[in-house]
Amino acid sequence: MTTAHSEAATAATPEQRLHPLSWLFELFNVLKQFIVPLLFLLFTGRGDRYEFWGLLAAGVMVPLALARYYSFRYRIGADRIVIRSGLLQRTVRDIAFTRIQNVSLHRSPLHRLMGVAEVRLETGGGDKEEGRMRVLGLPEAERLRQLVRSGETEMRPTEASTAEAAIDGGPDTPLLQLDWRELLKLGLVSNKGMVLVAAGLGAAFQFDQGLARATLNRAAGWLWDHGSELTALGPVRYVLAGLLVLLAAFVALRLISVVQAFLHYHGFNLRADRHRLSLARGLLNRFEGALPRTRIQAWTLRQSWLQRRVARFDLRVDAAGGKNVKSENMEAHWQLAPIADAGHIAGIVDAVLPAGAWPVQRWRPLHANAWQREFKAPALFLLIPTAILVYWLQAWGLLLLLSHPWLWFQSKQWAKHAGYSYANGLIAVREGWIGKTWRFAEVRKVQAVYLKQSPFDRRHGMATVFCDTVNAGSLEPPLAVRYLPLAEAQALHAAIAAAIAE
Amino acid sequence: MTLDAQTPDSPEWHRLDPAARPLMRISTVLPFLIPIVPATVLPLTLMPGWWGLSVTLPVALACLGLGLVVGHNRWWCTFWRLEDGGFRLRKGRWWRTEVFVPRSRVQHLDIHNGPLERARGLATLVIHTAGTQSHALKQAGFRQETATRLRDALIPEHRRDDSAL
Repeated sequence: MTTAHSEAATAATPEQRLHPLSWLFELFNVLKQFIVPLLFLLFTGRGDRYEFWGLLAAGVMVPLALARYYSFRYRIGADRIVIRSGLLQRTVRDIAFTRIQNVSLHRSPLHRLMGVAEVRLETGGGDKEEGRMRVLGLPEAERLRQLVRSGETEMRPTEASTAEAAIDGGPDTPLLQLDWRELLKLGLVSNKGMVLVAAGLGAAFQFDQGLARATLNRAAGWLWDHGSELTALGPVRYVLAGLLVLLAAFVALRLISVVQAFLHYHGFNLRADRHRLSLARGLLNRFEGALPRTRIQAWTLRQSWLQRRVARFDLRVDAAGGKNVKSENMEAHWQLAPIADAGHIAGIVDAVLPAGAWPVQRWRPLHANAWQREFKAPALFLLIPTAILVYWLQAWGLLLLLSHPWLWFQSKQWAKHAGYSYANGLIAVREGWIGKTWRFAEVRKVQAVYLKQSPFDRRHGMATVFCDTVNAGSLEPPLAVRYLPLAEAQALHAAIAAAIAE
Repeated sequence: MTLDAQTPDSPEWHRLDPAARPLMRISTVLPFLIPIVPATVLPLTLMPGWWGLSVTLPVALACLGLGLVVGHNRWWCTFWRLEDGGFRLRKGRWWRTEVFVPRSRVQHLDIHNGPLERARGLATLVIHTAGTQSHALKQAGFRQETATRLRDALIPEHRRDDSAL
C-alpha cells in the first residue's frame, strides 16, 4: 500500500465526533476529584471554604468540558487514525494502526448505563497513551478495535504465521475463566480486606482529624463505663470475649475481601490469540485490555500459605512500555491470573513462552551453606533487642533467644526450597517456604547481567547472579540467584552473557 | 575462592585513565568529611576547655583515612573490557560487581564532561538500556578519546547503519 493511496483513503472518510454524551464524562472526570468533599459537604453539612472553592472550580469546568467535546474530532483511514483536538492550541495526531499495540476499553457503571466506553490507544513508545477517546459508543469502539487488529494481521504476515504456529488451540484460545467458586476462594485467601480497611481508616482520619479522637474517646468511655462489669466476668470469659471480637473482625475482613474479589474480577476472562493476550474483568468498572506478546517481560508466580491450602497460585507479568506510569494509564504489571491451579498456570505460561520451558523440569540447588546466610543475619540482629530486654527485664529478656531455634529451622527449610534453573532459554528462580515465589523470564528479555559478591559472600565462597529486565516492579522479587557457589555463579553469568550477546 | 578484581584474568581488561585518580579521590573523600562537622561542634560545646579535641581529632583522622582508602579503591579496583558482544565493567573492593551489557541491548549512550573533567581531558560514559536497574550505567574516569571510541563501538549495529542523508 503506497502512502499516497492511504492518504487518499484517509481523506475520503468523514471526520467524526465522539459520542454526544462525551461532555458528561469529560465533566465527570474533572468532578471526580471534588466529588468526595462535595458529598461530605452535602451529607454532613460541614466543611470549610476549601470545598466551596472546589464547587466554584466545577462551575468553570462545565463549559470547558462542552468545548472539549466540540473541538475533538477523529477520522479513521484505511491504515491510520487521525485525531484533532484542542481549543486554543490545536493538535493533530496521526497514529498508524500498525503502531498501536493495545486498544483498551474502560467502562464504569455510568459508561455501561449509557452504552459507551472510554477507549485508549496505546503505542509502545511514550510514557502515556497516544490517544484517549472519552467516550465512544460501544459499537464504534468495538469497530475501531477490530479495525486496528485486522490492520495488524495484514501488515505483519510473517510474524503472525510464526506466532500462530506456537499456539495449538487456534487463533483465540481461552486460557482462564473464573466462576463464582474461584472468586469466593480468591476472596477467602486474600488479605485485600485488611489493606482496604486500613486504607479506608487512614483516609477517614486524614480527612477528619476529629474523627480519630472521637472514636478513641468513645471506645475509652465505653471501657470506663463497663469496666466493672468486665472485671466481674473473670479472666476466662475476658479472654473468650477478646477472642470473639478478634474472630468477628477476621470474618468481617474476609467478607470485605470476598466482595472486593467479586467487584474486581467478576467475569474474569483471559484469552490468547496470535498477537496478544486479551483480558476482561470487573463487575461495575469493566476493564477490557490486551497485552501484546512482544511486551511481556518477566513473570512472577506466587503462592501464599493460604493459597497452598486450596492449591492455587497467582500469576503476574511485567510489561514493557509505560515506564514510570501509574497502572491506570497503561498497565505495567498485568495480573494474568489472580487465582488459578497449576494446570491453568502452566497453560498460560505455555501459551507465551517456548514449548517445554515451563514448568521447570529440574531445579538446581544453591550453595550447601546457603541456609547459614539466611540464618546469621536475623540471628545476630535479634541480639540487639535481646540485650535491651535483658537490661530492662533482667533474665526474662533471654526468652527472646527462644526464637533462634525457629530461625534455624526456618532457614533450613528456606534453603531446601530455594533453587534456580537455566534451561530452554528460560532463567528461573524460586524462593520462599511459608509463602513461595517463582520469578522467571526468557533469557532474550534480559537487558544486562550482573555478578555480585559482598564481603559475606566472599567468606562463604558465594556470589549472586542478577538479571536485569524491563520494567521490573519494585514489589516483585528480583530475578536474582543468591548464594551460589562462586564457580557456578561465574559459569551462569558467562552463559547468560553469551546468550544475550548474540 | 574470591571474585578477584585486582588481578584480572585477561589482558584485555583496562584500568581507568590515571588522570582520573586525583578527581576520584577528592570526590570520594568530600562526603566522608561531613561527619567531622558535628564531631567538632558537639564535643567542643559539651566538654570543658579544649578537651573536645580529644574526640574530634580521632574522628577526623578516621573519616579522612576511610575516605582516602575508598577513593583509592574506586580507581584501583575498576576495570572495563570491550568485547565483540558488548561492554563489561568490574568494580568494587569490598562489594564487588561485574556487569555485562550486550551491544544489542544498548538504547543510547551519553558522554558527560564536567568542568574539572574537561580540564583534565576526561569524560563520563553513560550507557542506557531498557532495563530497570541498568537503565543508565554510569562510569566516570575515561579519557575523552576512549569514551568516544567506546560510544562508537557500542552503538547497536542496526542503528550504526543509518545514514544521515
